[in-house]
Amino acid sequence: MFHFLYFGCNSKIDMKHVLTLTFVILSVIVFAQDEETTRELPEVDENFQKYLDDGLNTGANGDLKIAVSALVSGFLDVQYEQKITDNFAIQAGGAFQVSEGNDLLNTITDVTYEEPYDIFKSGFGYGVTAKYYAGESAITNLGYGGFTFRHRTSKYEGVTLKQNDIYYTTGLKYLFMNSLSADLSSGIGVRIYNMDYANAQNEGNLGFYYGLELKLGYYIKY
Amino acid sequence: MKKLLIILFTALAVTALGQSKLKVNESHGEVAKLNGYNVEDVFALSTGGYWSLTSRVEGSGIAGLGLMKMKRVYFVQSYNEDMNLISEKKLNLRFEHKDLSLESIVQFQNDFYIFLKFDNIEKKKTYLFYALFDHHDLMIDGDLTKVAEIKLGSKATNSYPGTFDISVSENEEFLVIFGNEPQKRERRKRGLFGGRSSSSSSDVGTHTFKFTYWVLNEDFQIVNYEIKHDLKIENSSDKFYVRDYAVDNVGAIYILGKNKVVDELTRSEKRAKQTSNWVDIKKSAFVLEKINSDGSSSLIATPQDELFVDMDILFDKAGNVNLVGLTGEQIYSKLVTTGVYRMVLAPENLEMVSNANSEFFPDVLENVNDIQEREANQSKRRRKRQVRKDRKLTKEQKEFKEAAKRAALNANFIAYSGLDENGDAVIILEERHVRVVTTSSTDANGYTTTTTTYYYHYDDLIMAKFIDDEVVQNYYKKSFVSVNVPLVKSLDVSLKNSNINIMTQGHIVRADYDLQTIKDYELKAFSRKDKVPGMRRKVFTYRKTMDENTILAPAQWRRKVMWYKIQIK
Repeated sequence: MFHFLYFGCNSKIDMKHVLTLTFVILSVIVFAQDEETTRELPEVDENFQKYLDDGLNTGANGDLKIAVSALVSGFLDVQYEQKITDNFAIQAGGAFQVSEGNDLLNTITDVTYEEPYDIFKSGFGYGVTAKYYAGESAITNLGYGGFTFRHRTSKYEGVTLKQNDIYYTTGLKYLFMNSLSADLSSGIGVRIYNMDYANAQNEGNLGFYYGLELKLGYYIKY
Repeated sequence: MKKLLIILFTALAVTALGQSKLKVNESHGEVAKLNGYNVEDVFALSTGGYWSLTSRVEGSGIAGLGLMKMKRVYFVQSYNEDMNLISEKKLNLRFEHKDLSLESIVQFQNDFYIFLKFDNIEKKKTYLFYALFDHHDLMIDGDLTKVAEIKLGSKATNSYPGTFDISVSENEEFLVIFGNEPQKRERRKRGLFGGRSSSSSSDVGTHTFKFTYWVLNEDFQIVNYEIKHDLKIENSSDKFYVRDYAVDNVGAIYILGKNKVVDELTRSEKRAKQTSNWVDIKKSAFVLEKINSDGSSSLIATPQDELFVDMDILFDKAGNVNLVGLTGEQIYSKLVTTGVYRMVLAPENLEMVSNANSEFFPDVLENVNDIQEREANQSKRRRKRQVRKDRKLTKEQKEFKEAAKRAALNANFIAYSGLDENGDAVIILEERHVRVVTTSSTDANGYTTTTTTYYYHYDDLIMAKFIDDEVVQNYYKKSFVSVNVPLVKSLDVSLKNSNINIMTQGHIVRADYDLQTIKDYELKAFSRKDKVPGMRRKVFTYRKTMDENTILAPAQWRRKVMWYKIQIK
């Protein structure tokens, strides 16, 4: 077949060319046949870590957050949660009261101050929570249960309101946009409050506490 | 002399009665309080004793708002020969701070392998990993290896999530992973005003179904694989599902699917046909596709003139493919089982080597078919009333009633199929149905409480065996009811020394080679009368046949678990 193609050319060079061409064509044919009969099969992969990398910061050690729900009662509440084990975490925070706000629970339970004691001056607060996460999922996923102690002081003209809340809290942690945290929780317990009047007798009482909290934050890994 | 004869007769009767009963030893371990109290599986230890896998659901949240996040956690326990608990450990499924979910634990080449999966949201994939499981130290041995992957389905309610099925070939040399890609739920086509606009037979055509599979050899090398393999079936409807798949001794994969063509009749079509049915089952066939390691494939379908209810794939020692199935007839809108079928195919080209089929024997149906049983027990008066009632039936209703008498009602699935040492195929059917009882009661304050109770019935057995071209059949009458909790597995079967050993929740049944002699034993362990100190009540949801003579079954009450060990002597 190749003789027909090269008919009439210089015989020495022709022969070399013909042989090279024949070799190339044969190799191509053999290669093509090999490809037809051999299937490309995948292999198992021991580098499992790369398949688990989904960009989500699930191994976070800490969570720095702001209690969005506390803004309603006028507190700018910043909290930090530290993972202790796969099940336990401790959360501590401090708050500064920027406005009088509206503490819904106080409105419901009628802890209000008559004139002229209702001019807001300042306030602060702090709290600590011990959390237990089910399913060894601290601190980024699944639900948790825990106990919280929270103190809040609000200063008004002529009166200082001090509130100590001790409650059992259950909540859920969410991880979104790779490192952002959301913490939705509800608490039930007792509220011990005390009103220190400048010109009158102090008042104190024990009440019921129920609260719903939402915190947004950022997961920290170190 | 008379006395002697009576004694002799009594002795003979007792001996005969004794022969029809199996000798069984029922023992149990001590009651233990476990952290994981949902029994998932139990395995035998090579050094004696057993180990089990259990689970429980953990989580928390705000119950009042219905916001709960739950997670299944797993535990492993080791037991001695007498099923007394030695130790319990939590199984760690957390790698690289990621929670993996347990897919299954598979025994392959004398080792146990744990398969875990992970949904990677970023890569939109579900990955499957395996690792060796040290069943002595009860922990994962070494690192994970990624073996398979499928697309990650959306969390939307209108899609089915993707799943993996993992099984070992019958010669235990290959492991097959079948990946079912997530699928969108098809919306039912409806006409204006939501009615049926047209017959669905117009959907019949050539349909393509996609499957992904991996076949691994004993060194965990992939020897056969195809991603989204196209299975094209002519004259098919979109009502196709994979019933079974298997790997033969050379690593070729067999996919057995059911293809049903059902005419959904419109009101006018129903009136024109003068039928009381809304559906007309035109075809119910099984399609078998073999895919060789080199990628070539062959496809066959079961005979079109038969309506097949269920089918299984089995391989005999010569490597032949055995399709054993149930044939049926349409009664109203359903198919009911009326016979058994076996087709032997050559492995090279799937050409039929032989086939055999049989309707259920009249003496089997007399004892098992509920309609025949009811009619046999009717009084003369009731029978007369029945005859009068039957006269009023339409021709179609009469045909359906006659077909129902020929059928194994409530037995539409093969409970077990297998081949014995001689290559004879065995099919076991079990009558199963659920009865839902709703009761309402009003207390003195006028509050009404409605309670719904589910009674899961596991009744009579039908046994069929194909000895060459002949079919032998027999039955076993039994009744077992599980209240509110369905059994994970209602029966196990082992074939040894040409005998068929059937272990059910309440009975052990042994049939001989040609199913003529049946011996049984009613288990006391599952009876409520068999009280155990330390356990207020006993609930059985799991049972496993460890070998042809040993069954393990845990009795549970809340966190307390006590294992029964039942041994056939």
